[in-house]
Amino acid sequence: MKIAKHLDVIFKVLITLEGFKLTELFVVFFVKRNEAIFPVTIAFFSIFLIIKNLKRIGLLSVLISNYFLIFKYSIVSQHFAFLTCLLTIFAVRYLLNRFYSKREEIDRIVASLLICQVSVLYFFAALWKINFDYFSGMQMLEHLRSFLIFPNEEQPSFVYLLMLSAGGIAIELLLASQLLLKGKILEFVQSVGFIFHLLLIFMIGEDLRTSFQIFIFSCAAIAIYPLFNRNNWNETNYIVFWDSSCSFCSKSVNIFKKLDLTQNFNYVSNTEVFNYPKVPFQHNLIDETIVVWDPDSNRFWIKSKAVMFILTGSYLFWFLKPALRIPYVYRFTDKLYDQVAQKRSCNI
Amino acid sequence: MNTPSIRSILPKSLPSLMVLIFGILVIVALPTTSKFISYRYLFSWSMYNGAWVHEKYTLNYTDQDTSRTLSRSEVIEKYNVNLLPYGIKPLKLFCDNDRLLKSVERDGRFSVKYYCVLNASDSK
Repeated sequence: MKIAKHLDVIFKVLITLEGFKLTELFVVFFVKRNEAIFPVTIAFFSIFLIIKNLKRIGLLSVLISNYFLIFKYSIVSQHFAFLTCLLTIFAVRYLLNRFYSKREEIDRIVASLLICQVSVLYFFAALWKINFDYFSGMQMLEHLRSFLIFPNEEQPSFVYLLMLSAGGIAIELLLASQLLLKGKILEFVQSVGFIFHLLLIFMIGEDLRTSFQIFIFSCAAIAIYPLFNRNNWNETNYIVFWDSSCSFCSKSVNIFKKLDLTQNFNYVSNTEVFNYPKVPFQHNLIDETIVVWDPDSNRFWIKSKAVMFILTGSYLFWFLKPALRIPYVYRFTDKLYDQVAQKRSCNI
Repeated sequence: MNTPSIRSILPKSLPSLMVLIFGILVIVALPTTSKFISYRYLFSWSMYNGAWVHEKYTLNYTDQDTSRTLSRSEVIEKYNVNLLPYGIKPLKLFCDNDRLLKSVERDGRFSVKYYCVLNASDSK
């Protein structure tokens, strides 16, 4: 099941974020000469155990150190606790793997719990804001004051603040219910969520350290988003046809393969296209453009749209998916693609 | 591509479902039962640094001779300053004030003190 690949990638992202966070804590405690530096150091070196494939013991050590930091040393930053919580769910995965042979079932449990955790986070974030103080807009004002977006910077009207406050709550409620959405709506909501988190980093982060902490939190939340897309749970059969006689195409395909962390696409060169007699396009089309074919729906995409389809199908660029639906844009990007294609170097 | 239903992505076997239900109960129950986990540290980014927690604030300030504690409502009433139950910047109003504010302390189980120092009102 493809969800296993997604979980592997998400785990790597979370461990990387944990590494960043521990580095920050290490520096702070080193400067302040705080004894909490010891659990931080243990957690930091435990990450190397995880990298060396000693995931179970490494993760256990990281989590014990994290909880020690939270409860004993009051490292109670919300983003740190959230990251610890997500890693705890992954600990369930590696623990159950030892005792339960059905890995697909375990991955379903873990993915569902991760979804639940993120949904609960957004839901409660929205729930606690539904009060008069928040709707008065003063909190929004604090965040927005330095951005000069209102006609009257010092005292924007209540209507502006109310709309912004209500908008923020609405976005969080939508993000909490992502699992119920699908198709275009889900793609749009997830892109909004990405922008929402980006704005949080810039608007709430008052200094570098705060921005860094919100960055950790945002990345941890966004890393889970692809799980909400139920299409990502099953294997896909997308095939990318490319021109192997073109060195530029070869380099591009190598980049695409590296970006395709969850292996959504099979790459087939034009020399092998004859193994696919049922493709809905002429074989010589591959000499002119990259082609993505979905055998299930028998649809295919070419030129810049194919490139965009590959990129947005990867784990790293899913938030650009709504761009695939923007009308007319591809007339221009296809022209650009043609210009690049004409200048590419070929081996023949 | 047909989007799989929510039911189809859930675990199939009964033990797996039970583990999932238990996990969800833990995740959902914590915000309603554990103040430590839910209110401040875990389930809401908006509660970062104690923001938006509906608790009573008290304002401790030292005048030249006296030390007093004011409730939020008293602050609004006497000084016409709405000390919101969230946010840190409003405290700057007091710190910049001549009234020699000493600290603002949230009256809760996990209280946080904000000390007024020169050019920084939000130090913890």
